Amino acid sequence: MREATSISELRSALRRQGIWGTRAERLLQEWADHVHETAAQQVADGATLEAADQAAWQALGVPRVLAAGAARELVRSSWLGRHPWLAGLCLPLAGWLLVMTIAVFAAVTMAESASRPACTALEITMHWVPWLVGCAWLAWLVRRMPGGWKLYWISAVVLVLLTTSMIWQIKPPTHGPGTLAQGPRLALVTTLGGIPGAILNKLGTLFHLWERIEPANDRTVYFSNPSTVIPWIQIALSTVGMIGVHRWSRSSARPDQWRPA
Amino acid sequence: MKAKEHLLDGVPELLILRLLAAHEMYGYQLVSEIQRRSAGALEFGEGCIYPILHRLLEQHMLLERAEEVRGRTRRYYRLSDAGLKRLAVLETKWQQATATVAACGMEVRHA
Repeated sequence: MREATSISELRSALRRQGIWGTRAERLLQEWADHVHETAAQQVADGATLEAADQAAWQALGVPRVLAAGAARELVRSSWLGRHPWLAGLCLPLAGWLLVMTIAVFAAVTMAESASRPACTALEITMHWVPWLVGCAWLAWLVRRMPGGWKLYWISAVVLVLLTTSMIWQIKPPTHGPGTLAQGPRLALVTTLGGIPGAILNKLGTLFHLWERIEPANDRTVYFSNPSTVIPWIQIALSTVGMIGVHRWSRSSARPDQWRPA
Repeated sequence: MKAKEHLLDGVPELLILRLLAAHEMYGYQLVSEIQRRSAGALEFGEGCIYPILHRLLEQHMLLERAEEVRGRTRRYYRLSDAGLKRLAVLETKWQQATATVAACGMEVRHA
């Protein structure tokens, strides 16, 4: 009974730190095994079973501190955790800028000579490749960092609200030099007015699967902003959140752990 | 308080690597050995050893094997080649730190 309660407390503490699944179960199993050994040793030394059990759980440590320590060690275990700003902000930003540069260059080049099917292929590629790369990056990030999927969904919902009606538009210089136009077309008023609709229509990022691309004319390449930008901004926001969790776990975990007697 | 935290920053890892360099152990054994050898000089929640072991495992500094003992899975850890290298680095750093502290102590006493 005591074991079940303590394990449940530890599991909740780990969950609050964003650690669950096999990682958490393994820790819980080893902690329980440790307590079992400690209690057995104390019983062998003459303690009662109940007293030994209680002392063993006490010696194991406070659940909150153990969980925070586990989060800290998880962060320290990976390159990503040790360099969160680089992996979560600088590289995604650089990656996104690179992708957009390639997209603009390709769109301008293709608009001069390419056929409509080629432009469509470029649009589809630019809708899917950055999105897939961004999602893979994000999945790797949330797998390795405490904070996990909770922060992912918070950032996803915020971003759906903020960017739902943004369109990235590139108009090649079809009317002579100096007529190239590209950039985000903001429709914030529409977004604010249509928040409930946006939530319903665009919950999650998978809505891109069903989104249709309808170019205004044959030589204009449209990139729907959420496809190209959202995963990257999600990576950045999730990273900021996870760094916060990391800092918090560091400050809350350390003082109670190793210290001179 | 802050200084105390930093002072012991690499100590758990150094202790674990040093003990596992001698022979393979499981978590409870490690904790008991640290307590026995330090003669109660260090206080720590015994459970905090395991996240450190898991980190070292993910960093490929440790190797593990599982064994069924009285219906429970017990995991034994031992040092890998990378762990041995890491141990050498940590020991060098530790020796440099203690030598520096000792040298400063001598100067103060002679002043």
